[in-house]
Amino acid sequence: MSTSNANRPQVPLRQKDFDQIWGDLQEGIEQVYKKQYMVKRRYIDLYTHVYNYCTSVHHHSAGSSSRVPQNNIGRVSYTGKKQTGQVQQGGAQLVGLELYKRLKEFLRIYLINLLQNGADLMGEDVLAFYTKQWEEYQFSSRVLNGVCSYLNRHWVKRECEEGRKGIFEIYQLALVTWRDNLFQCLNKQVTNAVLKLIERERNGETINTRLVSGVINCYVALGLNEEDPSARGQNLAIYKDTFEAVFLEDTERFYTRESTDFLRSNPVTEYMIKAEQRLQEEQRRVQVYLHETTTERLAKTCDRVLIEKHLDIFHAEFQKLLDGDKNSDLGRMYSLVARIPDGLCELRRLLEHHIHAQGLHALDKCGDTAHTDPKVYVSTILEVHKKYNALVLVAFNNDSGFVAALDKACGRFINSNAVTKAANSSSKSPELLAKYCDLLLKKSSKNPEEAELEDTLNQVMVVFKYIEDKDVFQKFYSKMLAKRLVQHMSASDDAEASMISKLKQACGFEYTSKLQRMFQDIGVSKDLNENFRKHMANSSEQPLHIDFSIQVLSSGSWPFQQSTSFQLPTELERSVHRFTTFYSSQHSGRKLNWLYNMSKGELLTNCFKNRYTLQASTFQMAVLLQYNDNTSWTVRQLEQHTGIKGDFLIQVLQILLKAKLLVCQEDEAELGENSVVDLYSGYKNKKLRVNINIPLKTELKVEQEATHKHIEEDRKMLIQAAIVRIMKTRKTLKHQHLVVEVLNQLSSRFKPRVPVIKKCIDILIEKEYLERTEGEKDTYSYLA
Amino acid sequence: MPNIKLQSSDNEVFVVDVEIAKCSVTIKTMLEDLGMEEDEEEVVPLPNVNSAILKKVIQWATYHKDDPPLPEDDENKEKRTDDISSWDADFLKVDQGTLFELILAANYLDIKGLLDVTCKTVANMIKGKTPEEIRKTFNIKNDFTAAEEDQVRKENEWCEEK
Amino acid sequence: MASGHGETSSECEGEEQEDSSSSHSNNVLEACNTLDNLSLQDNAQNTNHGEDELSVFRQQWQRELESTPTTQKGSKLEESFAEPLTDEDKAKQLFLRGVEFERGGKLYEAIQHYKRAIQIVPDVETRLYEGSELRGDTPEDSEVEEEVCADKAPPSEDEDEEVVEGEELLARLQRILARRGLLCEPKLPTVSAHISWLPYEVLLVVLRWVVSSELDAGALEAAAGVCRGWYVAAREPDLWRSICVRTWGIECGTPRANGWSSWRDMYIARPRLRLNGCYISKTTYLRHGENSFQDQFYRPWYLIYYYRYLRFFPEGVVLMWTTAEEPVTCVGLLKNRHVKSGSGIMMGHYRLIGQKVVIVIKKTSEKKQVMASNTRFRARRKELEHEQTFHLELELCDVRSRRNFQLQWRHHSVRVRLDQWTQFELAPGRYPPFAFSRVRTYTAESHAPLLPTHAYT
Repeated sequence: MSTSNANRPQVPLRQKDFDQIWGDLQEGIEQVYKKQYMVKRRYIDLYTHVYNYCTSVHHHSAGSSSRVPQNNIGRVSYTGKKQTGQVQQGGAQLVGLELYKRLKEFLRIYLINLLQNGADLMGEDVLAFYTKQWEEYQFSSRVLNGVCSYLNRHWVKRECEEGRKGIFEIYQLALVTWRDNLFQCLNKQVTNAVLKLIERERNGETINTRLVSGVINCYVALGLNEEDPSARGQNLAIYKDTFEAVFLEDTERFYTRESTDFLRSNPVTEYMIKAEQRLQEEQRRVQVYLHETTTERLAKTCDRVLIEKHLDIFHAEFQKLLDGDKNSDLGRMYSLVARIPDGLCELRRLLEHHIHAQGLHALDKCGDTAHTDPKVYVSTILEVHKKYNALVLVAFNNDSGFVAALDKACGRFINSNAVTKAANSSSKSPELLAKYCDLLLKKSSKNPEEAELEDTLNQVMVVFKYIEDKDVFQKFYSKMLAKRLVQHMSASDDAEASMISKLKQACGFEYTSKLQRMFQDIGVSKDLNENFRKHMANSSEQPLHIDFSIQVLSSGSWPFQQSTSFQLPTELERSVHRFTTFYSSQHSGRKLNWLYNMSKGELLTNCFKNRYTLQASTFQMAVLLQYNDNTSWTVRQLEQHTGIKGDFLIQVLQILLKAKLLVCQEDEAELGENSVVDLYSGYKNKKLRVNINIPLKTELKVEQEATHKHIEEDRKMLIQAAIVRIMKTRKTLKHQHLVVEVLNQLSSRFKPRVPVIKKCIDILIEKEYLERTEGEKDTYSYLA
Repeated sequence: MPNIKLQSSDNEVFVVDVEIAKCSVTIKTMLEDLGMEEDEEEVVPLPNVNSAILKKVIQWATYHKDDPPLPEDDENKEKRTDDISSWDADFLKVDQGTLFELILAANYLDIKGLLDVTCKTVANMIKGKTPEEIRKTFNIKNDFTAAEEDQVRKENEWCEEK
Repeated sequence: MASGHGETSSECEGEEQEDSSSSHSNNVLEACNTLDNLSLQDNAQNTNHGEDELSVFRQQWQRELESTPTTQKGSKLEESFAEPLTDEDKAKQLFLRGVEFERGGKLYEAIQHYKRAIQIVPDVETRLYEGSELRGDTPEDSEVEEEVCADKAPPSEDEDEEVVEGEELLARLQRILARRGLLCEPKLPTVSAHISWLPYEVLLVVLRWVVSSELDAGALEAAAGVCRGWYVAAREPDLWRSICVRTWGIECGTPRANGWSSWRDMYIARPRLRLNGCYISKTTYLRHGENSFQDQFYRPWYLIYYYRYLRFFPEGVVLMWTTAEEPVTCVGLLKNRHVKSGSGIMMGHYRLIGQKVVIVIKKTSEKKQVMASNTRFRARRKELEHEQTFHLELELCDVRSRRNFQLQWRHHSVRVRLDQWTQFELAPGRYPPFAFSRVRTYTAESHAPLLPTHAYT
């Protein structure tokens, strides 16, 4: 066991042993700092020296000369406070102070000597010196730290735990010593040199970035948390204070000058390219050789100097770029200005203004065609929208603020423009849009392909989205849909269904419920006809000899009014009767009202040279059938026989006269009760199948007026319903709040006018749904 | 797997897998500081550890080389309630002298796991004993004067069984 | 700037700095007094050089006393010494003394002075350096140097052993130990390695394992009784601080703030729950049974008794068990905080506020746990419904000289449903106090060491 002697602390380590240890240790450390190659044997020797020193129980050697440096009492903490009898203690029995002090002193002297070599250097020389020395020092100190790890593990750790200030792990001690001795003296020189180098790079020179990053790494590493050395995470105080602050000032100065100079002699578009490039460069600069935490502050500084200071110029340019449709420049400006907080507000405002103006202008340009031709109107709107939607999407990154600006501008010019002003009604837009839909969905020679139609309908929905008076659209749309359905004029059931589902998506179930019912009725009617036909076939009664088909429409859903007085021609009576019987046998308790004005039929002529098939309305049929009995009738007689009222009859006759089926001595505009209308036996037409069923003028006019009137009434109902709904939950509410809520609730349908809301409130008070709260001004309460 | 040559204080050389040797933080730090040289011949002397103990240390490290790393800080150590494994228990069936030398070696080489398990063993030899029993267990001289011993007893009275 | 450990460090770190500067000068003077005493002793039988230096020091001391208005040392001197100096001046002076010491190779003293200087003015070195006063050769400097030399005069070992008046055992043993250079010695000569080979820091590690995470302070006290070296190690304030922090939590405050002279004193004197055993209370009562059908006069009485056990662990964990089983069979089952489910032992948490122990225990009946494995969702709801929360308040009492021996009932309630508490009436018969009973197996073995204090911060 003699070999384990080295372990034995029985023989206390004496002073001279320590000196010996230190002698060898110092030699070794010098070797480390001279960057000499160190063999492992040597490393372990040094570690062992430190270990043996730290684990020895130091002995106060009796009789040793007091002149010899005394380290031994380091263990003892005697000298308490006598009065209290307290003992001062703490970490007293660990060894390390002496060694620690010697190491510290060694590092200090090493660095003071080193400083002499570098103190007079400037520019790149000082950087080269500083970074090289730093790297080597860092490396050497790491080795030193390893050699001293036992000291770190016990003595230093204990000291730190006891809260001693100024005691660090050896590696940190090395850093602190560097900071206090080398950094303090050289940092101004070094920082300046770094800034010069960066400026040179900004001016286009190639620099040795490793010199910069070396210094930066050093500054970062020197950021020690002296208060709490064990604390994790970096303390960047040194880097921030010594470098970053100055660097940012420098940056600001550099770019202030550059940007002002550049703008003076170049167009803004050029400047934007330059600025973009500079911003990228600075970002890369941080990545290459600065600390990542600088990214944000540097970017902010650059943004401020390169963009924010020139915002006015940018705004002025923005309008020009919009006018010139310079989309890529607009995109660049957007991405630059977006870097500035709240910088985009002005651009959004300008864009909204511009789109609005463009929209109005485009509709103005169409002139009168836009008023009458729904297609021109809608496609003009769509063109403007499409153009700026693309701009927002591509150049403005679909930024929600810009999307909002686009929407706002479109909403404004769609609901109020030359066309609506001419019609003096904002409901002109929904009306034209609904008509456009009708054009698209009605059977015609120009019906587009399925896919194209779907696409166009989607575009219609784009415009629809901006329409304020969605209820107006609904009215017109349902009217036209009804006609298409009843007259079998729909181009495609799929397209109809698709449009209805789009509307449903946009406005909800309620909005389209009637449209859907109409759609259903048509389906049901098909089956009904089928059943009726079977019924007739199986029936023992006499066959009808007439092709008879019928559509049963539920009365609430269809926008039709019952026809005026009419006497069904005897030829048709039987059919009607048989069907009525059939229907009531299937559905008891339902009442059928006949919409003669919506009905039509075909007549075969035997009286002309050719055998024509006439497609005619029921009224026309009634009139023409009279001529089976006689070829000449007075208007009064016809009125008596058909039961059609005078004005109306005259209109019917006028169309027949125009079609040259009938003739009259008098001018067709001046038909009177006594005018005689004869059958024109010389009727001729190129086609054998002739459609004479043209809508009546008054009918059209009445219809439109009725539509508008309905809208107003429906709106009142909707407003009242909304008020009741709101009051039911709120019980009492101030007038102002109630109005706001109503506007809110109905905004998806239309924009109620405030006076109308007031009127509705009054109506509800009258109906005793609401009452004015007593003693409180402008407050209503709900009466359950 | 590269090897490293460790030399005990009595000049016996052990060839050890580097990964096993690295469970000694001292050696690990050294290799990090100096870099792993190609020079396989370079011997690392461990002047504070004799061959008998170094052999045991290597044995222990080899067995534990795949242990999950110890928690970075002491925080999670609480949860480590596992007792000395039966392997360790067998491993530590040694005379006191060897046990203390193992502690010293673990401390010198900075092998936390080994230091833990050896210190725990010593601690369990101390627990539940009277001072006199402890002295007897470890062959410790009672260097108190009678007066001192009396005072110590008085100071410690508070925790005595009643 | 380096600073070291030394005499002015207190057992409560950080507090010193907050003291007014006068207390520092106080310390300086106290130290001087002590040194004076020592040197007198030394003088009696000392070597030559010590005597020489001593006399030089004496003369200078005397000179300085004469140069100050008051000629008496003592409190008046303190005042006059402290008054005219600004903190910075004082710090600089202390620092300069330190420089002189260091130059003279007396590093320990130097550090003491540096440290005190830094405590007053942290950047004193730079201030001095800037003022280039560093080389000032004031009379005080040489004076202090001599003062220390006097201290250094090494007394013989025998003298060490003597009790210096007013000196605590710990301080004296530390001093003796430092001179002897050994923590302990083998009683019988031995060839193999001996426990005395372990360096101090390793002995401390061993002691942390001895105390263990279960806070077996008794074992530490036993270790203190082994020999002088172990006594010093077992009194390490750091160990006791860790024990205190684990006992009362990181917010337990410093002993000084609570009026105790050390962490150990605080641990002994402050109310705490005993962890190395069980608190047990036995409840007994009579219940009479049904009258016998045949014999009207036969009325059986039943003697009912049961035990309540409370077992506390560090960090606020407590086990409670109510059972008719005798302690002999029970206490063993309460050794570990992790108990088998189905045993009826409930785990909860406690807090000690002064002498009041507040315990909260949540109990989920076991049937629910079975269900929990079947259908998770439904079971969870059930669990909530049937969860019981017990709330206990007890007061920790001493019984004669036995500290923290008894727990008296103060409050007992249970919550079955949300916000529905039922409070039990604490009838003395049904709620006898708990008495502590030591269980040796609890501390028989160490499983984890006592962690250093910083591990809790």
